[in-house]
Amino acid sequence: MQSDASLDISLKGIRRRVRLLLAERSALVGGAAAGAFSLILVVLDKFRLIRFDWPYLLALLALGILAGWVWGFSRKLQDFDVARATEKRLKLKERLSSAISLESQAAENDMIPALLNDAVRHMSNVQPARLFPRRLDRRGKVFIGLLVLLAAAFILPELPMFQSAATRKERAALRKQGEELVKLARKLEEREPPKEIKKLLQQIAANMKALGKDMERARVGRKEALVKLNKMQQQLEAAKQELTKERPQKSLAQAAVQLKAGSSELAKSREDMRAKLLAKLEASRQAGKGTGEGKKLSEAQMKALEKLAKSLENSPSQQMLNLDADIASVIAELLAKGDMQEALKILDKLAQEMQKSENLEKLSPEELKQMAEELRRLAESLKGTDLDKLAKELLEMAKAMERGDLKACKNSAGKAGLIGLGLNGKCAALMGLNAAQQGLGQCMSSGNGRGKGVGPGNGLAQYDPNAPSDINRGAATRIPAQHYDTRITGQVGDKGEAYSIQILGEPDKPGKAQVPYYKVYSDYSKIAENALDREEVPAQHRARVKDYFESLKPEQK
Amino acid sequence: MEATERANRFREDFSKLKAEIGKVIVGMEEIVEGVLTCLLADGHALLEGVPGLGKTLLVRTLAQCLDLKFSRIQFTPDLMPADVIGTNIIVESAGGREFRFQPGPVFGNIILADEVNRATPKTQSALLEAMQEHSVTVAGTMRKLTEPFFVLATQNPIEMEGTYPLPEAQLDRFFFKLLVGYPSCEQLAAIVDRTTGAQMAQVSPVMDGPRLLELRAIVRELPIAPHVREYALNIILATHPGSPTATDMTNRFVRYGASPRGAQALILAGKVSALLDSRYNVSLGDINKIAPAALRHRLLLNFEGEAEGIQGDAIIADIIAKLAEKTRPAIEV
Repeated sequence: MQSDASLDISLKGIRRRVRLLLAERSALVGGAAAGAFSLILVVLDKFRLIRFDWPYLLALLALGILAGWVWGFSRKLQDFDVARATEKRLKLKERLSSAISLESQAAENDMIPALLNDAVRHMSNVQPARLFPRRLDRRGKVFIGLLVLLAAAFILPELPMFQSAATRKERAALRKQGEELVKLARKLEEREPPKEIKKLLQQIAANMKALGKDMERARVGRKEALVKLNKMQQQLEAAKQELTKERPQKSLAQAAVQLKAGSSELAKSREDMRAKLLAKLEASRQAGKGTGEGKKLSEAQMKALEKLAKSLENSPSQQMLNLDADIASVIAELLAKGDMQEALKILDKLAQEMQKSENLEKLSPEELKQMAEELRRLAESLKGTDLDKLAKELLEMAKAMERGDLKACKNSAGKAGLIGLGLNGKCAALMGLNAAQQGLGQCMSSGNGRGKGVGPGNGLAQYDPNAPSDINRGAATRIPAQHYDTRITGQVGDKGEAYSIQILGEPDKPGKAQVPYYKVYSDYSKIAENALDREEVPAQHRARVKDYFESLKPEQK
Repeated sequence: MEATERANRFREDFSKLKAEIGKVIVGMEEIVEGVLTCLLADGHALLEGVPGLGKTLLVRTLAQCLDLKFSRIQFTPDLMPADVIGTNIIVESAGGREFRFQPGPVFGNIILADEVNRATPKTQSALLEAMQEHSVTVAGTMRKLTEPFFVLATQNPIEMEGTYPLPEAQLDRFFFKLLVGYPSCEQLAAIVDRTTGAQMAQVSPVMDGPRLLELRAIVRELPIAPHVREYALNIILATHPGSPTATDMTNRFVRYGASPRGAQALILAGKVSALLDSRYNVSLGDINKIAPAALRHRLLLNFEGEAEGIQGDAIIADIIAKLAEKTRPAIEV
């Protein structure tokens, strides 16, 4: 019937509006439930019983709202219920609900069609949005209240006004150290490590980042941070040991010295040869003038000798690579400075140039011989160092060049280039590890302005984990003295502790105090152990402190 | 005739009738409306009020407006049943003596049973039988009463000594019990002006018996939705102590609740109310409005209820308030 259709049309818009509002209400309920649960988790997080960062909070809230919205939207909506809600708003006195209930009996009673028409008439010009406006009801207020509580629970404890002065100071220090740790982790991630330690390095970087963020957010205390930093130091040590497990027979510094000597010899030999050639040329000129006793050479021969003499001014490698000196002395200088990466770059450039045919073909036999000699000297110097593999290929290149096999020379140059690449990566990784260790050491310090810490060198061959620590300790000297005992009481320390030390004997000379060495040793050794236990000594220096006192231990007579 | 037209004519006739009555009766709109509702729902009304409030005048005026036969029965303790329903009398005719039935005053259309509680139960039952059956039985012969048949009984709430209060079972036969209150000062002034002046207001018939019967048929045609009907039935059930929907007041003060006649009264009166409000459906508001009149005389209070002076209206109001919470829409947005 027409009135049925009209009634359905009238209800359709209202039904849509009601469904939307129900979905929104349910979303608020879902959000409130999620908010209440989140509040509990936030409180637990503040007591450090669990971890619950703000992304999880937002995700939980979003999930609650979405779940509520979906539930509300998918709820089954009866026309009768929609009609009841509508007629209550419009004060229709059950017209609509009666019409819906009775429309199936319209054929039996002619009052029912009149009822339907009456209902439709009352529904005309009804705007669903105005009839059911959005309003902030009890659910919405609860949701907003929970959001406010969540924000308070999250933010208020972080506000300085709610923290003691000591807590503020500690958190500020931790935050700063955390930021540095995160930066350090990022630098570590940027390096391209060798595949042997790639996974370990990534793990270390991730741990550093996580710890750094925790420290920034004061999620860890100072002690806990120190323990974790110590663990990371150990991991870094393990990574370094993994990288350097093949111990070289010779250090790069030693190789540098050898290279320097070889370069000088080559330069001298080149100079001698050049001098001889120039002398020969001069003799030929003199013979031509009829004044000398030398043999007169032909024009071509003289030109060839001049060309050769000119080529001997600089080494072939210097000319090929456009260096300031021959390659051996350049490499020597770089290795002496510890700039392993730069040295590898130059060797890589050499390998690339040597692979180009035109470079090798334009060299004269004498120049080839010179080049081969340079390569041989280079190989011999680097043999037994961390660049041993590279040295082998350099030697192969030299041999190929000596026998005139340019193709084999180019192949060896290619291999040398690849080796250099791998070494470069290893070197970069180790530099990164060292830098990370330094940075961790700084973070673990008390932060009282000591400046940059001194760490081990950043060259592969310079690091030796078994080498004795040589920081701030001079050679031991024995002082003979025999004096009387006197007690001197020290100053009260920051923590209210005082130490008194019995000094055996008076000061011998003005301005100097002498105490029995064996007595001082036991007292100070005890103090040092206590300090180590109380973590007053940064972790990276504990071994050195222990080592120091061990070395001071009186001799057993 | 189309339903809309019928409904419109219903309202017009009702308004006309009410207006005509209003020429004589001052105020008492609710009472007049109640009486007319009973009339249109084919029920009988019980008016309770002190003497001199115009109860008799109302009924007489109503009869005049409807152009129907009016009978007044003044109930007294010595009134006999035969005085109400009629009796056989011996008459002398050409063929000899014979018994002839002499109809009593109950054989009118509009009956005023004044102070019905003063007559003996036997006499009361005679009237009440006529009210229920629309017929009387005299000497074994059943005689049908003329339609429309409408009884308006009155009770005096004071001077109850020496009276025979209608038993609850009999009270149940009344459609409505209407409480006639004392007129206000303005109404009293109007009454005095109308009744003590030179000219008395006159009414003229605006409706006849057949039309009244048509209007009753229209009332019965009006549909009622299932949820509204259920609401009315829930009210009835709530008047019974111990039922699932009974309220605390019902359980405490009521001995016995309304009968199914109460449900009929709610629904029929609800239909009248809906038609008068230009609707084609009975609403919950209609039921709530007429519930007190329809149910106050059907609740039998227990000793505690009577001792505490609890009125039936209070119990009904409590039931309506409690049920209102349950009839809220299922969707709250």
